[in-house]
Amino acid sequence: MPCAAVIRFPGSNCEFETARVLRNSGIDARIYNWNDIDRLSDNRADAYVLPGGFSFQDRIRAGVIAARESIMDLVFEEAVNGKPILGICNGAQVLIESGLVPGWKPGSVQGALAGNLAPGRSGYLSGWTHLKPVPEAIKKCPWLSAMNGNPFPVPIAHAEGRFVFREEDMNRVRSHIGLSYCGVDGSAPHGWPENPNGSVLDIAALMNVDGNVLAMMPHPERSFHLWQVPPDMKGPWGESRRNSSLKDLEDQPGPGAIIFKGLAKYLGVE
Amino acid sequence: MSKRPNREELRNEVSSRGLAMTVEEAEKLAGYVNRMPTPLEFHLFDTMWSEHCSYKSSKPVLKTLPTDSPGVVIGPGEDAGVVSFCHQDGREWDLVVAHESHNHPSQVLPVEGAATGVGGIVRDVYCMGARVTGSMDLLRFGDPEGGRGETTRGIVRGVVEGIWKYGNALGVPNMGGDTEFHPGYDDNCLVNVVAFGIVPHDRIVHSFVPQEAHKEPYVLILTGKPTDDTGFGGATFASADLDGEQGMGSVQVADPFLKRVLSEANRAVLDMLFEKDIKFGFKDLGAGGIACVTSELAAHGGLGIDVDLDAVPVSIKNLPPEVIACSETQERYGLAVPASVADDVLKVYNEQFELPRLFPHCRAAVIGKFNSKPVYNVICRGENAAETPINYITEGVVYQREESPVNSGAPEPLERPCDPSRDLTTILTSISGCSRKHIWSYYDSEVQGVTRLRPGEADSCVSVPVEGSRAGLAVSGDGNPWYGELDPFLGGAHAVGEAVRNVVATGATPICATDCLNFGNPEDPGAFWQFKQAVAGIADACNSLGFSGGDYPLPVVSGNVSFYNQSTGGKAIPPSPIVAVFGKIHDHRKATDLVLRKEGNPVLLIGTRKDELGGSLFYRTCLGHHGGTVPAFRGSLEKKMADWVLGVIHDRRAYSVHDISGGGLAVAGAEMALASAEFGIEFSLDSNPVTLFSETPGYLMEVDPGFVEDATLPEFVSVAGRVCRGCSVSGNGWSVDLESLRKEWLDKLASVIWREEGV
Amino acid sequence: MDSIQIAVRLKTPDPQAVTALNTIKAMRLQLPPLKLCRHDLWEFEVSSGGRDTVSELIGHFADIVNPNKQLWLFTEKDSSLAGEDPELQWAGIVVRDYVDSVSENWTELLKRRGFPVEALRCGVLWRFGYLKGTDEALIKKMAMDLSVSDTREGGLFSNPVSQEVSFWI
Repeated sequence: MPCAAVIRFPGSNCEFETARVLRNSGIDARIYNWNDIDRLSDNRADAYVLPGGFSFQDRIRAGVIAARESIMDLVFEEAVNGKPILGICNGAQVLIESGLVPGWKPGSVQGALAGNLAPGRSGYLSGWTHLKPVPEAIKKCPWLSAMNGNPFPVPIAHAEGRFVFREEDMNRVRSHIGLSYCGVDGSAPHGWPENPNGSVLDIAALMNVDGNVLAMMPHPERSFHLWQVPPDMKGPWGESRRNSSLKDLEDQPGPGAIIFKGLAKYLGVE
Repeated sequence: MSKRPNREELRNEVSSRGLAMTVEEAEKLAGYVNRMPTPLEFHLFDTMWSEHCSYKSSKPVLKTLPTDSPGVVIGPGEDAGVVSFCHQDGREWDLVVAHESHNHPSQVLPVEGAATGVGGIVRDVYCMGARVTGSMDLLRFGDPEGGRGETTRGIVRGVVEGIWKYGNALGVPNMGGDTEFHPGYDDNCLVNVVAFGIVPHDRIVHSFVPQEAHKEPYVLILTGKPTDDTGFGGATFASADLDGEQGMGSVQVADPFLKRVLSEANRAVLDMLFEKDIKFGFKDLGAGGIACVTSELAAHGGLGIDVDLDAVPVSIKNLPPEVIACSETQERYGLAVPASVADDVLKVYNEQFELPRLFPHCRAAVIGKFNSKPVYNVICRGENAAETPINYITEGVVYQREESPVNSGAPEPLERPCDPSRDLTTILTSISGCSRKHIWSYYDSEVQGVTRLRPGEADSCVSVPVEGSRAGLAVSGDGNPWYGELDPFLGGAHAVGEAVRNVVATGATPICATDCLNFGNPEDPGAFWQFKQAVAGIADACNSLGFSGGDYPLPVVSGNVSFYNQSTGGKAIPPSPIVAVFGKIHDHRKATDLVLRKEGNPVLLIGTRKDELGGSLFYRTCLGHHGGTVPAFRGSLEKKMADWVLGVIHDRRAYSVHDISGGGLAVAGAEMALASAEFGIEFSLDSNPVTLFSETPGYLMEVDPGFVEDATLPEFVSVAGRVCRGCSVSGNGWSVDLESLRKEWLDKLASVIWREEGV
Repeated sequence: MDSIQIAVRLKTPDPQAVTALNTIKAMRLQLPPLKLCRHDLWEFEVSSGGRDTVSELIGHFADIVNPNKQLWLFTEKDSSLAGEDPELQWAGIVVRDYVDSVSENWTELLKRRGFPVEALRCGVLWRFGYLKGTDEALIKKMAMDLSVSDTREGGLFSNPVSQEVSFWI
């Protein structure tokens, strides 16, 4: 069975459910502490996930301290080797601050996840958003490989999720977009709250050059089961959530499961 | 040491040390040690005898609350209550619940006060050995549009910020709660916090040194944040009147980052001890700090202890012994383990989880040894800082307070003009009646991946906390200050009643309750009477709303009393009994929510409307009147309605359910429509204020047309209308288009409080 | 139009500064700062009333300064800030987001409430305390190097893509 390593930093808090949904997707998942470097080094995984949370309490800036932890040297090496790497929420912030994404020059910080920009409010925002994948990214990124291109809902929960790039990089960043925020029907967002944080180009998830590393602000692990979808959700996922039988409510995957299914497909899980 | 002091010497000590204890209490202490007490002893007893720790005014009254039911594993007395929850894979899982207030600190320092409120309550659940799977905040603020509105708005913003900054980082999903505004809280907000978690029955941890310590040497390990002076005096602060200037600097500084790492380290330590079958005691440090945790762990296990304060990791040098011993530095735990495993335990904290690297001077250290001599002995820099017979420390004090009825005698309004469309619009766009979504939008309610229904989607939040099990846990917390003000007995009873209905409306059977009793000065006979009345109301409701069969009540398994909620002017808050109810649904897939499902479905009204609008949203927001006649509490009817609703939900005949409380039937219907977007309700009832706006307890339930034809409806159930297309509610001669109101209903709180518009 | 700047710090040790200094220690720099202080820096563009306007509005909003937990002062050029060890040599770095909701929302709110405030900008002032006697130009360079995260191994205190960083003094 392929194996994924879930890297826990001091202050991570989504490591258990992330490991759980990986296991439910047919992938053996193990949690490694930030200082379990030797153990991880001896047991290289087939994929790596940096889970959500508040590594070092987002002090100074979300992700910046964790990006400097020694265990990230190993993740860095594996990323360059082409292993699939996913950062969810705080994990995405760590990937950006490590210079792995967008990664034109790996190790250089070339993007930012800045504070949410929203009318009349600041700080944390939690709620459900709709995402759609970029067709080219489906071909390139293992995490997106099981998608059919349809929009789907997933929750967000963050205070610093606004993708920002330098003006001169705005053109080349387009080819790195994995997922973007959209309306329920897949149309371009009409500002806030469809784009919940003011991300440029409505970016929700960004890849590195090769597409093996994905920095994703929304939480697919919290929408793994159909029963996790809110009852008032609009669109086909809401219909399916409201009208499903008891059995389907339990057995049917939720919209976020597709991310982990993508990895399983990539790693050859039946 | 010195000779026994006289009264005058004691009076001087008490006042110069800023103690809250009375001179009589100081004399009692001097009698115990038969000399002038040491500074540490003064501060330790001051904490132990504070209202917060000793329940000295409330204890005799609290004994009247029902606590006995077959599912109760641990009732009131330890850090949290425990009830049986479910069986899974041959293992019994228990639910651990705790409920506290952090009112006074939040008034002075809203962000830190609310944050440490969350921090304190989750520690109470963690230290029972549980994984914390949810928290909830019950908030009461002054009038944000009133004379003290500016202060209130700042406090609301700060409290919400404190809750999200701390709670979200901790990784504990926020399961909502409620928020009420009443000018009676202008000088004294209420921040009540509930936390709950699950623990395998065979892994419950107790907060005393185990019996094994009588046979082999046990030591006390202190772990967590290095001790400083920031919380010094916190316990006595929590029990004193507020006057704006007092208590500054005595609110603790919370560190959710350390707390998260420490919680995971604790989990590793506890797992290791259980796997080695080692008996141990575990307790969090709250009020009274090291002094309380060391003396209580020892005394409740029937032992004495020698504490070495020089071994305590500190972040400030040369602190006096009473500060090291009694400081309320956050994020610390005490652990009583056999001396033989102490090194293994220290290794987990200090090496595996690297506490010393993550925060300067943070680490676990052995700071005491238990022994069979029943003395609490503390050494600091070679000197005896305390030497007290240990049983006196935990003995406590009790006072019989006087009571005297407060007659509100409020009249009903002479006239009740009612224009349903206009009045419903007014209510839904008022601060009291608008959506609370803006507050929840700051909270992470989905971390851990077990949340089934989030705040606002159903009457209570539901999660699925035990891996592999379908058992759903529903929670709701309630308490209506307008009822409490008019009739504290009914305030208490309806707090239970509404929380029960909220849990029942999702299909969950109530299994236990917790309470937080927020009142004025207990030495004031009027305030004490209000307290007693409210407790009697809670007891009455719990006795009629037991769901365990037989005559068993709904057990109150944990709780907290908060007195002295008043300004220095002496104006007390409205009597505020706040109750949380926990329910279990065997199969979470059957849980019901607010969302209307199908055009043409009948909507049932459960609970006949009565003319009892005292304290109602209609009176307050539409007539500018409080009224006098609070809805009666009809215990046996409440129980019958709940049983019937649960039956229909379990038979899968209910499509959506909402309880009727604040705002009455019209507001309940509007809230279902607002939750649904594409559907609304056409009521076929009389359009009078009693039918539409009376807050007589009840439910609205959407069923399929066949259900009404098949079933014989009990006398308290009638067809009230049907589901229609389009987000609106209407009745005979009135109609409100809710789609056009939605924005204002959702945005009102943010506009007044966060953007300060129109103030 | 007056530009008025205030620095606000916690009375108790600032956990952000504690963690930051702890992280710097792990970077094993040749000449690390010995102390680190963190201040919220608020800059107000006021159309009338100068400092009085700022003092007054602070009195209205405990979100900006809560005197129960914070100390604040009008900052002066070349001044040392309260709480700083005079035995050390201090350098200051200001970090501001190019765009941020907090500044935008407070500007709107203060205008709405009728304060003569044209604009407001929030930032963070980090003060680095170095060993006395170190060359001042060197201190400034070290403080700036420590403040720009251009690479994973580089400085800590600002992401140059979304934040601007400047010397304070």
